[in-house]
Amino acid sequence: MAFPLKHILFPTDFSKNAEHALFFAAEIANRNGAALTLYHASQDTMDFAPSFEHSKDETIHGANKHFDQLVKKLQQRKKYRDIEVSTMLQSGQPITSLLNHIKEERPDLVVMGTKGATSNRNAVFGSVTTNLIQKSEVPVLAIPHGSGLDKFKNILFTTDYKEGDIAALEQTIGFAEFFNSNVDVLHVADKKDLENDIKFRGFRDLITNRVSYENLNFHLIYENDFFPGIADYLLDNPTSLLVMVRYKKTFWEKLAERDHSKEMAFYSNVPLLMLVGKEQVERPLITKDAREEQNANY
Amino acid sequence: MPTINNILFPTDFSENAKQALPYALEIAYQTGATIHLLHSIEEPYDFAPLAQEVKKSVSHKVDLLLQEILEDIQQQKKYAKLNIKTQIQSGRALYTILEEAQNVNSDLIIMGTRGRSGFEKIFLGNTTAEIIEHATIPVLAIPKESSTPNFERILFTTNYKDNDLKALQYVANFARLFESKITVFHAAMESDLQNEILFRGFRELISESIDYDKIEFEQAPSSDFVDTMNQKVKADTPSLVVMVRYEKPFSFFGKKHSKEMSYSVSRPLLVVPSNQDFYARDKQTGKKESKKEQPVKE
Repeated sequence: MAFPLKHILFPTDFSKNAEHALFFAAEIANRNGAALTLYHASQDTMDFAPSFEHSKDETIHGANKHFDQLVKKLQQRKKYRDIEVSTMLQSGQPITSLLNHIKEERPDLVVMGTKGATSNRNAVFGSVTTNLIQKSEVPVLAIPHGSGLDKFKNILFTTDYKEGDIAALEQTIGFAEFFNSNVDVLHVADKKDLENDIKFRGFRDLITNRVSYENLNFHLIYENDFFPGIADYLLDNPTSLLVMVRYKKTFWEKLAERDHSKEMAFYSNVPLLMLVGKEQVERPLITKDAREEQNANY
Repeated sequence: MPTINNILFPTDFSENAKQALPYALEIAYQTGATIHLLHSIEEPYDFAPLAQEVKKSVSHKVDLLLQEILEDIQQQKKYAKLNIKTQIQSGRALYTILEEAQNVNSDLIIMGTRGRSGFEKIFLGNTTAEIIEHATIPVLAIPKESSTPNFERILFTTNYKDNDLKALQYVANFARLFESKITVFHAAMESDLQNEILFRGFRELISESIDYDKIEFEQAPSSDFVDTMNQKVKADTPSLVVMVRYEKPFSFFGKKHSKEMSYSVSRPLLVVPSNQDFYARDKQTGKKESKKEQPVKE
């Protein structure tokens, strides 16, 4: 994800949830000067149906009508009028089509709406979003229906100090710059000891030596388990965007194995940006004290 | 933070012990500590008919030898005013030394060590190595080849474990007496982000919590700790090597490592404990902190 973003994909099923997310996508597109593609995949039309041609025309007609309505909604807001908007209708199974489309077009970011908090824990994010979060090759921003657009004032980046977290945090800061957001970097450590203390310090030191961003803060909390830890943090700290980095075993798979409705409710009301973590690479060992870099600290 | 008030100097009247004595004198001179000279009479013949007779004559001889040492010290102008006590104990050296260390409330044991020698190791054992393995206070082992005491360059080995900060504070207090340069050294088994942030974080923590500017930080790739240390010592020829002796068997530098190091490192080796009790000592006894000790920032 390089900034400014050039191309944002907005998949929609033309539901209310999706519409809510449109303005998030528009706001990001506007600030980045990115093109916005509204995307819909439909498998309503069955090739083998007797009235195939007729049905197909109807679907296309219906989709276009929906697209027109969305575009009109955007243009009602003066600031969104200059956004380069295009629409795309694909026939096929929504998840497969969308994933293939992302693979081919490689948009910089996918923004989509989700249901938000419901009593059914599996339905917090719909199946399309869940799949996308797990499999997309580009970053995905999931916007729950209940979330308010506060221009991403407080961004929470959770880290496990994995190699890919560095690039992901740099991307997050790149994103934050467009909104002048506060970025809080949070690590949940299982116990209070020297190692956790110095890892926290070391990560902060490494990052602040690489990027300078004024509104960047680091936090360390102690909790046996990541999920309750972060749920508590979200409770005490209003957060407008939760950023996570996806590695092989995704956050979502881990979360899906759990049944903590309290936690779920928090996640599901906070927009989630899922970044794609690069796998572990070998780092050259620091063998000597890099004094010039450290002057500020001595 | 414990200060050095009582130095226990066990001697078997060997060449090794003789070579180690100047270290005890110099440290006592700088710290104002009392030196407790100790000889342990090991009695293999308790059951012999003339045990009492033999014991008496041995005791007498030991007394004379201790007096000789005292006289030698008296003749050195610099050390003539040092407070030196002598003590004779019977029993196995290992136990009498540990017991005496407690009796005199010793903060430091200084003794000569033979270095690696197959024959001595197998048949005579190595009391110093055993003391290092069992003592709960710092032990300074002086190998045979050591020259006159100097503490210009201290090599402090760390594995970023819990009480390494306390251990380094102790060593920094020691270093201040001699204006030594400390190199904090880590033998790195991995070259990854975790390692880098540990390095950076420890460096930051130390620079914030220890007010001593002659500390440098280094790492070297390693697959075997003792090998790496031997190479490092060979390359740098530090005046003093410091290791933390960990209790936990799974720890990277276990007791075995410090014991092994005492055989193989041909430089003075200071083994400091990792147990919290030692570093909490002054609080327990209510002793005043020495003036030489710098305030610790937290």
